[in-house]
Amino acid sequence: MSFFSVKKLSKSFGGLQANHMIDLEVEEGEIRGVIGPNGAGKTTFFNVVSGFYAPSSGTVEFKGQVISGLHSSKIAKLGVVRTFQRPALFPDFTVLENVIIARHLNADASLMNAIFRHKNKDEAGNMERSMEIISFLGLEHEQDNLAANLSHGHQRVLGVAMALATDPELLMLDEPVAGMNSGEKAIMVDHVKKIRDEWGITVLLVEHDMRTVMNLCDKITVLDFGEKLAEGLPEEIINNKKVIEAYLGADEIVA
Amino acid sequence: MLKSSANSFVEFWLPVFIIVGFLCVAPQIVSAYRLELLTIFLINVILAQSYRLMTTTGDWTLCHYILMGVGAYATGILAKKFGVPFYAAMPLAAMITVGVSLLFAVPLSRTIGFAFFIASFALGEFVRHVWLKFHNPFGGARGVNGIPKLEIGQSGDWYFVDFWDSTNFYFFTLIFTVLVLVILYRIDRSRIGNAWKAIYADSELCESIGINVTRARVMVFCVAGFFAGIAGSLMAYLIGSIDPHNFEMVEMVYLIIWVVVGGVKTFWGPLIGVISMSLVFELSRPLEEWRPLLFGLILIVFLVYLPGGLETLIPRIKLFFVELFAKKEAS
Repeated sequence: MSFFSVKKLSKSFGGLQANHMIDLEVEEGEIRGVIGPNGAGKTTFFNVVSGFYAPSSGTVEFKGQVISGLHSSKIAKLGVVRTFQRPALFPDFTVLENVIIARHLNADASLMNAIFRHKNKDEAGNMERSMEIISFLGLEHEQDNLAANLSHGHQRVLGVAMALATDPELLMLDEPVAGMNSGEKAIMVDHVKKIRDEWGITVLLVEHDMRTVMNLCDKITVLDFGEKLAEGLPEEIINNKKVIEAYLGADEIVA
Repeated sequence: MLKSSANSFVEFWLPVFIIVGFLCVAPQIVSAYRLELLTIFLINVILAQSYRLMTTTGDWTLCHYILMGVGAYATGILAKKFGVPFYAAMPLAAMITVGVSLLFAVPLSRTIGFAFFIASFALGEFVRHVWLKFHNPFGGARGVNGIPKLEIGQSGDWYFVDFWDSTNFYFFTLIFTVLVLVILYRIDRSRIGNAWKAIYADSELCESIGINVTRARVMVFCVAGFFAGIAGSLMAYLIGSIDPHNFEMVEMVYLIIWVVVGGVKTFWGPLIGVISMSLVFELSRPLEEWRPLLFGLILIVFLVYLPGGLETLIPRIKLFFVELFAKKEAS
């Protein structure tokens, strides 16, 4: 039984085949990158795996349990949590409150609890854990600021913090460094490494930025036209002829 | 972060004490007629505040008034046809409203935004037409009349309270209003309340962190329906007769004007809205048929010049006073 496996996954929208028979296996503790040129079907793949779309055919299994077709909140509950390409946050709440809200799965969010309980033991625990996550990702000096007022880079880090707040086993990052400057990129790469090395969380990421992927990932899967083109270590991928053709076009001389 | 206790006393407890204090002595200083207006005002507070809860997830409905009507009809029929005493009729009516809310919410939760708005209107009108068309048990266009007044005990018992006396009914409503506000305030400040607000901000993100958005939206609808049902129940006992014309679209429009004028972001917005608009309503009594025009104008002015409602003025007023005090201390 593998940790996380995608079997013969296909997704089509009307006549458009966005994903076709994709197989993928991720080992526990791995950082896996999924790359591909524009329109290769990366984002569709990501949305299907995280439960935002139901697959047309094929299955996704997490620790032996089929999770494809489940409601995305249910998938999160099982330990597979995603982030977003855009800065996704609750703008009217502070950074700390954002992370505390993301502790939803670890809290008693019942109505009776809201009306009758005064002091709540697990809320104290959630607060502590949220602060721990915030300082782990270096956001402690922003803790009491409104999330809306953060810089783009910090907003994306907050997105990761909120995903971590659910205590995931598999963290799925959707273009974690999109729109960042090189300094912010380096910080994000550091964070992702730390998340795996220190907290042992498996990471699956979709990314555009080649350098980030090469720096970060243990293994890379390349998609092109909705199909799996290649898979291997970063060095293998960078020298793979098919991959170079997919990115630069076949038989073309690049000036 | 945490405010000092002195600060929270001035900002929170002092206004609460003043308002509740005024409402407690009000029967001594206003006429019987005004007291009945004040009772209706308190019921409207419950209604507006429950509607505000509904809007926290971003779902603005057009059927909240109908839910109040469900509570009123349920109370009327239970009390009149089955002779159910008020302490059983009121919770039963509220639960029936929750049941109807659930029937509404399940299909409505498949829609969002504008579609939700219009579909809720259609469902509400459907229910109103059921009241109009079915004489048994709803009484058709004439509605349910002669709802027995509520009583505690029999005349002669030492604990007998007669609610024909408008002062007694007023205090009965006041207790309910305070109770409902306390509960709604606690929900607003709780984890589940924050989760609902989070859905309004970004429902996809909520899904990804494990909040079941569909279930939450259905739940909000039902909880808001519960309190609307209580408001309707009180209304039925107060007026003693209800008919479908009490729950026409125009009443819903007034409800929307209250919350637009007050604002829905903070807990205090709808309160401010109901207070100010009730005052305008009473003061404009001589205008009679011009009143809808006046209210329409107010709605437009607020939507254009103060879309966040009167509540957005509170921080500005606070800032004004802070600066005033700072100047005084400096001089």
